[in-house]
Amino acid sequence: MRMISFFLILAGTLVLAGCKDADRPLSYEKGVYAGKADTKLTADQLEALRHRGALQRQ
Amino acid sequence: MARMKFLCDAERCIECNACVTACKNENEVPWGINRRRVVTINDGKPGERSISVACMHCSDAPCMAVCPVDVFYQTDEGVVLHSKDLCIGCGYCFYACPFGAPQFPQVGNFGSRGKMDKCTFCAGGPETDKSDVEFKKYGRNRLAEGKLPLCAEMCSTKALLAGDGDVVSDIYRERVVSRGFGSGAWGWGRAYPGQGA
Repeated sequence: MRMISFFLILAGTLVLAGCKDADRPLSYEKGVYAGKADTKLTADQLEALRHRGALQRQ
Repeated sequence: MARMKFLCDAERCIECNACVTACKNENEVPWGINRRRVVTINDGKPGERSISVACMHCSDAPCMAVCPVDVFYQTDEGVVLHSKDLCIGCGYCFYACPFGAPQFPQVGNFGSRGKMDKCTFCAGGPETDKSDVEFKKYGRNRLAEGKLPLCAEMCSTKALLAGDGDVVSDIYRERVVSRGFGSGAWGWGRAYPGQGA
């Protein structure tokens, strides 16, 4: 009986240990993005984009 | 810099679907997902018009407003991007979007929806720029390479324009003036009746 109880408790602990939602926000503030921050474009990249945009003129 | 924008010139679009193919190829978009598609009205009849449609990166994006887990964010350039780590695949954004931009891959045999996928303006996602993880989740980050979305850059008739809104509007304005018959934009006559084509 003791053995069965031990294994039941052990199994329960292992099962509950798997109940984890890693890296996911669990509370939300409406309208606020809670994910990873994006890398901003540099001034050089923006200038290159503006130049390529102008190439579409034909 | 102004906001990044797409503009499809209906007078020039020849419904070749090259933008659709380029997008799928560049971003290795999975089977069944179309980030961009060409829509044609009056097919085969007088007044036939085609335009290429994808996410329009709205300034006040309805998808952002309805998302229950706030997966969307806007970059400083006005590109609407999202995090697949946060998406729960509910599909609200699909109902909210007037352009049908959000797409959902089938992830099971019973039609269950996966994480939302949509046009990223070839700007990747929140992962590290030009990383493998970013490419696998969101596709190519051409903006970080100083390049515009491939759909627009390879458009043979230059019907599809992309880039800084100021530059795009200048190009389109020049075309309208040289045509001499109004904007020619699809829906213009309906939006502004009695003011030319």
